Amino acid sequence: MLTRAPELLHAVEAAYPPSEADAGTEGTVVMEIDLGPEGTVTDARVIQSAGAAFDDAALAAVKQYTFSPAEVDGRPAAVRLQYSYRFFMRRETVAAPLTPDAGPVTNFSGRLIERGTRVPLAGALISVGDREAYSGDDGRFAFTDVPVGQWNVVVTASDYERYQVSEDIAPDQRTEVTYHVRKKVYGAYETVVRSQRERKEVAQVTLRQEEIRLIPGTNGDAFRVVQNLPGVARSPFGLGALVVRGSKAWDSRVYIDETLVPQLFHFGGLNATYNSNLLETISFQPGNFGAGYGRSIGGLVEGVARTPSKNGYHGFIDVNVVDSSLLIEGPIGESWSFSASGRRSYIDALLPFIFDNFVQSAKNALSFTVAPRYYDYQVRLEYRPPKGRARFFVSFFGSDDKLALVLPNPALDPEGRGTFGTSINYNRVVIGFDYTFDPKLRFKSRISAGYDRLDVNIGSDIYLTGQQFPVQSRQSFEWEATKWLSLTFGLDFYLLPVLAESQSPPSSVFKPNVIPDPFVSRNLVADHSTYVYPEPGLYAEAVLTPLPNLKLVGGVRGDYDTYMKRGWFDPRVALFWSPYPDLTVKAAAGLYHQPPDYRVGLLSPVYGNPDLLPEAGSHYMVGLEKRFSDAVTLDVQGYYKDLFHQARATLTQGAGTDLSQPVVDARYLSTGRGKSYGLEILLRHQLTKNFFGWLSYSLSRSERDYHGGTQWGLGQFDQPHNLILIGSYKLPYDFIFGVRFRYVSGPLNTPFVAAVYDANGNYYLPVPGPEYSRRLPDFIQIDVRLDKRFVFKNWMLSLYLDVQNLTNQKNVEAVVNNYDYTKEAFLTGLPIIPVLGAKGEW
Amino acid sequence: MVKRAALVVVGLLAACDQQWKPASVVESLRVIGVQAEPPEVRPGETARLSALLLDPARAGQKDTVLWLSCEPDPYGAGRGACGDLDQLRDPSALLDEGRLPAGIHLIGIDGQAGYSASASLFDVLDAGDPRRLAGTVGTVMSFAIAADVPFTARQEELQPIFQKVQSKEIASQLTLFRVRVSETPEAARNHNPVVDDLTVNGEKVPAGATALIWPRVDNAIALTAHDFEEFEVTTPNGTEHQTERIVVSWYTSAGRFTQDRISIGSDVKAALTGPGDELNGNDPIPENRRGSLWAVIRDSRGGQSWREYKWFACDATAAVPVIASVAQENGRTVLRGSNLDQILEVVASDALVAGGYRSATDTWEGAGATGELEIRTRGCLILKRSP
Repeated sequence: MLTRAPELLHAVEAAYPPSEADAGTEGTVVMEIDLGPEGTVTDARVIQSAGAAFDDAALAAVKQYTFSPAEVDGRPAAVRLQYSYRFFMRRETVAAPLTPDAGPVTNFSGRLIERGTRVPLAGALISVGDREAYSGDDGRFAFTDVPVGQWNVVVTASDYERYQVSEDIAPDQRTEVTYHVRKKVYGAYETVVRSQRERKEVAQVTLRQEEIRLIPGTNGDAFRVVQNLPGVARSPFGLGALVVRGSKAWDSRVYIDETLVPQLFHFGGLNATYNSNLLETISFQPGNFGAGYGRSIGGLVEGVARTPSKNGYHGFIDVNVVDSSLLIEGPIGESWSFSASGRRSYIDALLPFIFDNFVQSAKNALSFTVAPRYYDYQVRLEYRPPKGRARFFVSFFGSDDKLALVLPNPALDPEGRGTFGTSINYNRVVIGFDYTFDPKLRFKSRISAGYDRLDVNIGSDIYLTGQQFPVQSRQSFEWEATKWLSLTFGLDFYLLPVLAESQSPPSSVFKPNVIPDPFVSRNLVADHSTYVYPEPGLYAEAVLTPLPNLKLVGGVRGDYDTYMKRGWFDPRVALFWSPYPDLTVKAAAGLYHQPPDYRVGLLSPVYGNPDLLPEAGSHYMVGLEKRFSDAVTLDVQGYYKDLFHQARATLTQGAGTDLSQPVVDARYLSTGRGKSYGLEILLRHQLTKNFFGWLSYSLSRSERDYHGGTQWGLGQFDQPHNLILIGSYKLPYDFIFGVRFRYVSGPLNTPFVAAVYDANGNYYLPVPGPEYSRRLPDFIQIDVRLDKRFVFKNWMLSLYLDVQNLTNQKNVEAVVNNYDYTKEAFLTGLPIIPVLGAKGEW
Repeated sequence: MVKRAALVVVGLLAACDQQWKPASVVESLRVIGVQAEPPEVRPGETARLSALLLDPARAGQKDTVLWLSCEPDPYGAGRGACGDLDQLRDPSALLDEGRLPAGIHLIGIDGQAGYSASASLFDVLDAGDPRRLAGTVGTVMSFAIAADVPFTARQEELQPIFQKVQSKEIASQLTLFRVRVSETPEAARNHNPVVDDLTVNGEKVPAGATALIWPRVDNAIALTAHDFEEFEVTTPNGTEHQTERIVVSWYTSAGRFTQDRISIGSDVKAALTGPGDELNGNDPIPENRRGSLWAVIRDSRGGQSWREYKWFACDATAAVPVIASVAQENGRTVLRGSNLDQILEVVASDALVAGGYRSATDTWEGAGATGELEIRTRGCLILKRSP
């Protein structure tokens, strides 16, 4: 990904074509400029002509430009960018009075900054009569010996509106000015990355900030945007579960700066726990990821935090009904910069108000002591000198969610437990260090430590308190050994000390084939233990390019779980073959392992089975990528995933059991199986000046063995069709219009075939039919969003109208039943919800 | 912003939109309570079983209850056929004794049922094994059918009934109940709780009398009970002494409860919203303005009891009886006056006086009574008169 945009260091003025000058015509030539890794212009072509004379003159000038090297992933790289050259008629030269020759004297200087964002405007041309100057990186410019008098000052720059002002130059005085130059289109992103990071991943989609912000229905949250990509199933009510290629949520991992994030979303999936505004990019791989990451058999989401602003102090305050957030960032000297942000919800104040005034019945049933409440924070300090080889940062981030309910009527729980509470907290400190020994050898280090706490309590006798102190160390070297071979070696060490205190009914009570016995469930068992899960991992990956159009990526990863006393090697290979420059055929296969979900006690000697095997999956995929233009790409891939050694609950012995024999119950066995297969299509128009969008289609099938392995059926997240169409267009006058259309196969549901009344517990227990054997109606929804940006001198105000479920579709999300399960009804999702919002940025 | 707030609120309230009748309203075949007497037995002892079977839709007709049971799991792990969901998907299979799943036994029909576990149940455990004292449970199933099933009939005669039960043309309900089986000393065993008094709108309902409730409004109801026994439980932290919590579950033939289960002695109060409240949807006042109220109490250790009450929906338009005289004639209580047909019932010494209005003599006559009479009217006035 592009980590440093090229900056114009040296510009040459184009000769005004005499024929056009004579005619008094003006024009703008839009060109595509190819830059080499060192920043020189290797090629340029016109993509929007202003006439042959203007075109030739502009091309001739631009080819003499010099830029600072662009960087992709911190390394100099060739890029392609769009550039507009505007020809405009200058006034006739004014004869300036001569002054005594005392050497050049700067008597007119100033600074150019972008209106609204206050970002210094570099490389702009400032004309004062026939005098010209270009602004530097800091936006500054200066003129010497400007004759006294009134002068017309003109500022021109590609993608910026012409700025013209009259200045009085007084004798023996220096005139200092600041010009706020307005961008033509705010939010436009000029640079199209031509040289992507070296492709190692066969199924990766990367999103940029602007794409993230403008997608309707996602609140500008990057992690919710990921849910609109191929391979991700829509979860009921659009909540936060990340279900990738039919896998359970535990199978997929989320990393920020290569640090594992234990909780992706706050309660209810409203927001991610990490502020998206701090991300440079977010990339998503639904499967077949490389050897660099392990301990996961599903998908991978990788967020990379950006360097805090080094161009002045910026930030925003976002105040809304649910939460408020604040972000501030800025430079500390030339090499350092910082950012700090935080968010705090106040649903805990909002809900009691709503219940008090509008929904008394709900208030009677539920009483919040701490209503859903969350906060998160992110602080980052980064050292990144302009031309240095090293980059260093320290980052703190974390999140806290808390919920406590009091049931006013303790009789609602047969055991009289009247309270329910849960809280989830995580904190991380990450130290990152990158060093480029030379362009062919790079080192990257990420070391993190953290503290996590999970509390769940039902009454005073059932509780779970888990405290974790995760330490993670990822060290890697990348070495371009030859032109056709590059190697990566890495150490990926994960240490997870866990203090677990729990007391709950025995797991044998809640087996899928048995009616819970309220007397057995009263026999509470406890586990007060310390577990340490040291998980050292090593990986190596080689990228082999035997032919210019053929690339092979081979990697192997070895992990060892000291708690389980088991290790595994996961070989992974990928192939890229480009028979034509714009067509790439790709294929991959790999083996993946992960420990069973220790969080739910699968490995606990008290609740689970410490002898479980690592869960495993084999990923296979083939696909092709077609680039129709720099902006439009098509990615098609088919996949097959075989899951085995899945932890599966054992069944309680039923009819025919010899009760004289003692109980032998391993609680869980590693005999679970599953498979997922499907087709994913992503037709994408990359972010350009005015438009971005994509069409995402997933054909996703998932099968699992249920009921102790006795029945095969569709997996819970089997979604045959998931079609998402997203488009966002920048209109004149700083309006942006976005639309999202979704069509998703209906969710699967387990029908109830009967119900049994439990006279001890005084409730009806439904008797389920085959698991997930019924599909509910399909989901169809259209969301639209209109943004209008007002640009002021030093800040910007964005107003937006976000309409979710424009057609007021009654989408079925779940089934509800009456008390004895003899009647059922569909529970539909949200109706049409128009939202008007505002956000101020400076 | 607002959308996110709405997400939260709608998410919380989405399931509250249905207008199904609550579980506390009984209109057709229901078993709402099962009692074992005693509720806790030693291996080899027998507990007598009874069920509170209601079927307002078939008033006056006989329903059938089939009792089945499973041998307890001496290891207390809940194993066996009675809790096995695979065996319960088609309850009609339980009607055919010849096809009963392994481990399920027929132990009685209708009111004739008893449960006992094998005297050698705990022989698989060592003599000092604490699980003998902690005990296990014997699972009992009552299968109620809204039909008079002649189990002495031939199989081919029963088959049509089984098929109608399977197709749900005949209503049925399968109920699970557990009898504790342990070697706990007699003194420490559980006993069924006992219902004491019902109070409606602050008035203790006299024994046998009809509770007076006002239509369309909340009528405060409260129940007292006794036998809050103390017991010991073994927790991971050791032995704890606890006192039973007795929870009353309310049921009615019409009207709605603000809380349909209450922990007796807690601060939470319940009310019966009288029928006729339009907000409650299909809940009309019965034609004869009469209905039933059931209270089932559970002690959380398997003990259970219940009591049925009659209620009358007060008629504010009813004429007020004018009592001219109260007399004891030939051992009978005789009231004279006007509008005596508007007398609902007469109570004396906190008990119902059996009697009624006689149109032939335009009198209210009942059993002999002493002391002050409470004359309860259809308009829910209580007139007090002395003989």
